[in-house]
Amino acid sequence: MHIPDGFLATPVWAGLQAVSLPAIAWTARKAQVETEESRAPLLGVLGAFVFAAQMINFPVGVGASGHLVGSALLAYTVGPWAASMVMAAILIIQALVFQDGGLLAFGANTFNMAVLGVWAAYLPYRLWGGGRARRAAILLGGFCSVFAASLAAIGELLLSEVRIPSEAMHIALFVFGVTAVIEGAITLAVLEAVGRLNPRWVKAPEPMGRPAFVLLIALAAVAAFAGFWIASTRPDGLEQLLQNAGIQNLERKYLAAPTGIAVVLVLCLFLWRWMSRPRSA
Amino acid sequence: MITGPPLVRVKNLRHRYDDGTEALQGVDFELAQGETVAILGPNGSGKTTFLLQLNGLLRGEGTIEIAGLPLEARTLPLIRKMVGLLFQDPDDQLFQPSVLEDVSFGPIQLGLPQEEVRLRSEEALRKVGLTAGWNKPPYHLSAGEKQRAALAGILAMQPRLLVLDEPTTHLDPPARRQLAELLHTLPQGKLIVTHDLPFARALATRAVFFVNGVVAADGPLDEIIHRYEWA
Amino acid sequence: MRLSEFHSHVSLDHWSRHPGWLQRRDPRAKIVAALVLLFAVSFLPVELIRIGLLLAALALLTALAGLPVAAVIRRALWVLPFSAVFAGVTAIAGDTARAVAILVRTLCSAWVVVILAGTTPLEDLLAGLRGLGAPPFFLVVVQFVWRYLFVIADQAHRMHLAAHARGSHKVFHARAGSVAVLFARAYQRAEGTYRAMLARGFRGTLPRSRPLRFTLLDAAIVTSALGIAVCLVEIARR
Repeated sequence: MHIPDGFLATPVWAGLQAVSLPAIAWTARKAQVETEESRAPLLGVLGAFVFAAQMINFPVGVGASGHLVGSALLAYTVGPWAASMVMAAILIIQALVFQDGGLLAFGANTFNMAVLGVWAAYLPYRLWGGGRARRAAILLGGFCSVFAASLAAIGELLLSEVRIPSEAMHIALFVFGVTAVIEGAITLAVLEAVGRLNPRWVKAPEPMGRPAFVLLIALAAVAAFAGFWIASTRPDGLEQLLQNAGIQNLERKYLAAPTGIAVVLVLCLFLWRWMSRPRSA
Repeated sequence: MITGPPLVRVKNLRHRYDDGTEALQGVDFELAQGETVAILGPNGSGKTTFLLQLNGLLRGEGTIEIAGLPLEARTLPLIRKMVGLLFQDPDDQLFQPSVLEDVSFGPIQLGLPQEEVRLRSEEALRKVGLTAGWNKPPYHLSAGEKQRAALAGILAMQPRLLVLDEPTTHLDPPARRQLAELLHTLPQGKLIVTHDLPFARALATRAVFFVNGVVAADGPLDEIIHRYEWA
Repeated sequence: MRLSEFHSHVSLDHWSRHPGWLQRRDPRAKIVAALVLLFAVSFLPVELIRIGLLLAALALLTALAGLPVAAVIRRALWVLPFSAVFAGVTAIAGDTARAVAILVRTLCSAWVVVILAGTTPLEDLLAGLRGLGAPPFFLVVVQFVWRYLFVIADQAHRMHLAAHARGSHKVFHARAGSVAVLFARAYQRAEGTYRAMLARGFRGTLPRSRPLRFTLLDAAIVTSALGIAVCLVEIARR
């Protein structure tokens, strides 16, 4: 879900810009140093592939069709860091040329789909992608990728005081669940087909050290908590807020907000990456 | 007759791919300065693999000399300057946002000063007959124009040898004729892999026939076409 | 995004290459001005006069830029489905002012972006971003995505037609298979492009885009945008 400009409150979109833009810059600089500029054509062409693939109809039932988002597929073929960057590249083109997603909201959309979407996909794959539950891991990865991104988007809207009545919330969550399941299914089907064409195109889940492992579990727990908290408390919390809150209370709300959790998430990411550096190939 | 070392000398070239395919099984070949040769043969006979060896994109066993210079790691930059390789799909080669920037890519990589880059690029574009639309993105061009733009990109590096891999595949008959006429005016030696016999006839009198990774025949074009019933 | 909207880029691309005064400006100035305006729009108060003024200003800017006003507005209206839903929900809940605010803000924001993209070809936007400090490697990847997007989308379209021509009852798996083939062809294309780059002497660094020149007129654009923004914000405060 690409959030356009004009929806998010200033602290929300500004905060996420402040988080996402440095994250992308950091990822890009890392990618440039680690993998040479020769990777640029590959990442670009695969980005073009994902963009094009996003428009392909996958029939999933009577009259219904699903579409691929691609964060998970990218994470499993070029690794999570490159995948983040490629998704961000796709998003900026969508924002500028197709007006799909805003420019001020770019940070939010990037955080949802290029950061959260990619890492939420990579986590199950890293944990279980190397074993017998590989297919389940991929399905789960695809699911988490879209579900987490969607939840984050809803969370950002709610934080910006966009009204979403509880019935609509339930419908939205249901729709997210369905699209997330479809993402898992499409990702698995395509990844397996790609692997049959050339096994080297599918990245093996990278080995990590133990402390990093624990940290990643913590990261997962925090992400899950944030997601559920937004989903479960917000509809009621919003009523509450509208009763007691005036403009003055906005600041307090933001302090306690999932935006803060988002910052923690990103800090965890950076910390994990720093810790796993000596062990990377 | 042109004296001096042959433009291309290949001796006992072998290449095996990662999956075990023996793509080249001992190729011997020579090309004189300024000579044009058509490379014919069935698909999978090693023609493209052979081409990719000539500027070191693929490395096999055996010797390759371009204008007397042996192809090895340290001579690669110089070899790539001398050998201009035109790929089959121009979309793979035109990767810059505008035609002019794409043609300038080669000279810039050669480390030439800005003014020289500009001169060479503009001259190359004029030579291939693209006099307008230099700032247009490549996807605005027709297939024939794209192929010519790709050729300009190579000519801007002033190569001594042109190697073309099935250049007329995506072109309509008028574009094919135009390309043949254009190539005819260029003094470089040319190696042309093609299935397009009229095109081959327009440019070459000598042909080489690949079968199973070796040169099975080397002689006059028409004779080879006749011998292998390649028409 | 659907395939039908996909080929809309053609008109934007066409407009952006028109030799107009705004098209010729430094992309950095245009990007900054656009961001400033977007920022101001997000503070827009919900008053008829202010909204009217903003719309008039945008229409004037569009016309001055040499862009077809109706077509630009139509493009900006693409946000409508998304924002109308939320606006509708908000209006039903009784907060009509907020509903109107959502509609106006999203539409005007989209309008600003269409003007930006309609007067600046993507490669210039990327050059502008590079000038503003965005990481070069990221921008090169964006450039390659853009360059090969239509090639691959066309391939996808042709595969789709071919598949349709033959029909299939196990469509989901067939689709996944063809997407995998699209992946494979993309990967091979990337290898081909990389080879073409090597063949032309690529040594590891990509060439810098052409230098940008920031002129007085560009400074004027940024200043005017700031001026408009300040007016809007000041009005909002009052």
